[in-house]
Amino acid sequence: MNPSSLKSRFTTRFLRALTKINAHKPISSSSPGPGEIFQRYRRIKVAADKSMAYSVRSRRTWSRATLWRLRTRSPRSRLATHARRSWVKTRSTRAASHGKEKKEDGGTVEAEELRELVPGGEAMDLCNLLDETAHYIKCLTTQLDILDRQECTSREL
Amino acid sequence: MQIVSPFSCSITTTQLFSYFAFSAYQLRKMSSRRSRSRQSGGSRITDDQIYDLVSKLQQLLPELRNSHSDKVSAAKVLQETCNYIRSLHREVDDLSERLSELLATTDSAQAAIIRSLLLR
Repeated sequence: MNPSSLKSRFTTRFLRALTKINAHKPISSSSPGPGEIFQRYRRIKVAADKSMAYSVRSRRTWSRATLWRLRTRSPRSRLATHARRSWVKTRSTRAASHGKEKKEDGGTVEAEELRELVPGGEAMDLCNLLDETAHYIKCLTTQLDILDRQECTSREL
Repeated sequence: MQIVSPFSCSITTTQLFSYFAFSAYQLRKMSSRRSRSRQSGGSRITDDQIYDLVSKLQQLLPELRNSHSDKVSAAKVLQETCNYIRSLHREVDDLSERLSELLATTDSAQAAIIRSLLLR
């Protein structure tokens, strides 16, 4: 595997995060409750998204948006989240009011849906949105591939 | 594969291409309005650029990869992209859940991680 490729950067970070998550596990012989499993599931999912966003760094708008979202998830930065949401809203409403496109235009509706799915998509114009989407899909498939491989490895033991 | 087109089935390739070019034109109109509102005298987005980007996206989608680009409208590509991204998100959730259960039950989870490090 190419040591500087996206795949290997993501794998290294993700495995490191998994090790940390495992270290938090209480050493009890009884089976863990559903709440604990859910917590671990949340941690693993966040670790996967975080590792991917960090592997891409700030080179892409979507990774920057993901990193921002992850950083402002703590309660004391709720103000920051609110500030960013209102900023994004004003940008998109300003853009929408300048263009007089109505929702009957088929391309607009799908593009709006896409904007909601791709992180950071609300403030992008169409060209950048399509570009970011392509890269985002590529990274998501890489992430899935590594998660799948990790699951198979863990299952074999 | 159904052709998303209001025309009848007896349609020529030229008409299909112009239909696709028209939907690309619609997208470009929409995007140039947006970009005009945001940047003064910024670069104009061309039809070709949008066409290239949409076909690049189409190549990534598993269902539409094999059909010729002039039979699939740009709106349909966007729609399929949304569905695909949603299914990818769901798969990530699924796999994370399965991984969390596996790591909870296996005692040698640490060994699993080390092994995958060695195997890659």
